[in-house]
Amino acid sequence: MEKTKGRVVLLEDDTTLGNALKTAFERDGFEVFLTGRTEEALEYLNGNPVNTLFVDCLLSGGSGVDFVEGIRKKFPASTLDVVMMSGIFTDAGFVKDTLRSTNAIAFLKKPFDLKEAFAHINVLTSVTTATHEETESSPRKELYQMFSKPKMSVREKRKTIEALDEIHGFDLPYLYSLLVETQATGHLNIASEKGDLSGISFSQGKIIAVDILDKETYLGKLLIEAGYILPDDLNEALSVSSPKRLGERLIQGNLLSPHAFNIALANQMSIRLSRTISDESIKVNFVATDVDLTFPHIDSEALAVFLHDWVASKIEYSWLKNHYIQWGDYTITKSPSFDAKNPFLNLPLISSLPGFADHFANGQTLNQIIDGRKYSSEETVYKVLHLLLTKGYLIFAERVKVLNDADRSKTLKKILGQIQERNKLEVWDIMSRMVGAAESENSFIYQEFMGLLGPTPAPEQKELALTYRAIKSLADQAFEFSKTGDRDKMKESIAKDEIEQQMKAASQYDEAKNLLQKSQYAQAAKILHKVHMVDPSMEKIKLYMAWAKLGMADNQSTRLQVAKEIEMDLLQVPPEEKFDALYSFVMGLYYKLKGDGVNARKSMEKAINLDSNFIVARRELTVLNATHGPKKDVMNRDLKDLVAGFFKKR
Amino acid sequence: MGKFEIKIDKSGGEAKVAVLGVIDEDADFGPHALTGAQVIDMDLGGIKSINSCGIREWIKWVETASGAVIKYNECPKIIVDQINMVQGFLPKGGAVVSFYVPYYSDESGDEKNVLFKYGQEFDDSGLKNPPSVKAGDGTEMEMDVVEAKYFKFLKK
Repeated sequence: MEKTKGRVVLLEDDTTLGNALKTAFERDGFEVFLTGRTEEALEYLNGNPVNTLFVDCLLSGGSGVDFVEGIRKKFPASTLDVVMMSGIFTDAGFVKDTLRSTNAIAFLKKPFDLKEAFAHINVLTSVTTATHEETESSPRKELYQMFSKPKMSVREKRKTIEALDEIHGFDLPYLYSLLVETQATGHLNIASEKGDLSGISFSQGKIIAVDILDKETYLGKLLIEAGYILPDDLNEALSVSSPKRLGERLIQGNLLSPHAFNIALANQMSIRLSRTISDESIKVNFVATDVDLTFPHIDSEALAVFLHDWVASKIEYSWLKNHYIQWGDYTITKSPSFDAKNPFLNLPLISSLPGFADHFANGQTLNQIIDGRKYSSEETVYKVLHLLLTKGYLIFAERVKVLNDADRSKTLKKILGQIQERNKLEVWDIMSRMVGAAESENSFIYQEFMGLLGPTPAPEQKELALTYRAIKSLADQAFEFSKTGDRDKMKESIAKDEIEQQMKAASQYDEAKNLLQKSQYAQAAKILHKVHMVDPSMEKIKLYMAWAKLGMADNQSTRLQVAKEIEMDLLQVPPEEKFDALYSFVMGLYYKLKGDGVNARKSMEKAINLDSNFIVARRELTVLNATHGPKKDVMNRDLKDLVAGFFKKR
Repeated sequence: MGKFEIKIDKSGGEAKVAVLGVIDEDADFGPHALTGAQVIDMDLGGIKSINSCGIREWIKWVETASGAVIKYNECPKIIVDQINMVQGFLPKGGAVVSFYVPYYSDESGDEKNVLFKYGQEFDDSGLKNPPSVKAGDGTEMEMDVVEAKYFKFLKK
């Protein structure tokens, strides 16, 4: 595929100047059409998307100014940049009138320097000209182009994966999904920014092993949480001196069934996978090789549920918002694999937006969905969209070719809103996320970002031009900054500041936990909110926030509303924290709020089993026992616990 | 699947090392420390696969050759990928003498691995003369890698 930066038309009958410009632009990667005849230029414009039209004011066959005025209805300033040129008519009055009547972005007085000409096209890219296929691309960008290419062959998909180098930690769920979908066999090796290595092994599209640096096994917690063993069983197995692994010891001691152990191992893999998903730049490579299919493993069906949990709990809203800026003007449609009866659509996040996928049958764009404010939570809209695109149930179809000034202005303001009042490093990171490229692909990011903005607005499009200039100025500064060593220095300096802030937040976090123990919920909630602002990835913060909210709700009349909020809040708890005593405790409080005493008691008991020193859970259980009384209520037990009961050894 | 194996042939200050098979958590480099040699010539053409556990073990192993000049010969793509991605996979003072580049023909679907040698297809300044490779049907084959990524190590 021929790659060009875009197309330029030169309407110039001075062949010396025309050929010189043509050669220079072509060397810089543009496709150039040179002609001295207006009808040929028009024919070319009608058949090809073009970035910039350079027009001589006085052509042998007529006036270049008249020509541009004549085509403006069909090619308004928002879709075509025009640069007027003249060596004869150069007085200020003529220049001003010409700029106004032609809506041109510039007037070049001959003779001019080539640099001047480049100044008006170098920043332009493909938005109105080239399709996605025609632009220069990067491996990471190619990965997400699959969102609009449902018919890619398995080989093409694998090659796209193999080409990946620098990506973002939040890309991993999509990458895992693709590797499973393409029935990949081999090892995905991952290197973090710090150089830590982890790896995922696939066999015939199933995840069979996860290797991460954190060697915490979670196995004991997992087995107790699932009800497969009791804390005493675990202690008994751990007290035996043996070179055998914990699982083998439990099975040998007849304390656990091999089947239950396999279920726990699969959960362990999912937790480890979840820990690979983090907000940082990472490097990956996929080594396609023979790998035996072993048990337990994670198949496509199981992965779908994990994907849901990861998108709900790990991928940050701000990241998604930036990530989808480039797709805002694309219509979205259901893919051939979309099936309204697919159980995937019943997962909590998706079912919380009823009829979401049906919008796309009407050819709505992402921006229209967001701006229409049909759903109260923009964050959920982005997350559900990301899930459905990741699974390939929705695809991006066509880009709206010509945006009117109002729509374009809205888009530009959104972009400006994201990059305003941020330091250059942050602006650069956001730019790279918006265009879907790795942070180190400097020129590509800048070029693509300017492409997102579209052509330079004419001075008459005042509001648009103002916003455009503000964005361009910030982008230019960030681009310059990205090329200097200052970027690394700033990263280091920010990292130091962050560590200081995080240390401060950690001490406030402890204070909030103490307040929760003393039932001072409102004060704790306030502090937790502050801590969350500083470090949203603080361990178990969502659980403590839910605890505080539930504590406050205890005295309110809006219990049902709070219960609904808590349901959504708990979706944001990462899988690795769902096997913690605190999670069971919070679930207990949630059931209590809903008036479900049986499940409340069960959850509290689970919390105590996981952490026998959990005093507050014991206190709650005592209260619950006093108010609801312990009952043998088999019918009310959930399926998971019933199944767990089958494997429990006494 | 290829069994992990290391063959070391030491002579004076020079060691010829061949690594074969699968490098994973079961690969035991322990008995094969690289101490004592000044120049280590490694043949990596027999490596079938490597995972993250294997990469960690590899880095620890090549560190046992501290101070020696290590030369990597016939690196397959999976090894080139690690050299590009993982700091320390090619130790300081190490050099790639030859490596394979995958080629592919869109027309015929043919795939080939072509060995690039130092001084011929590449040198210290980077890629020099990429060869013209023909498929079975005589059509021109193209490199089946992203050049900016695959040849990154040549600039290190």
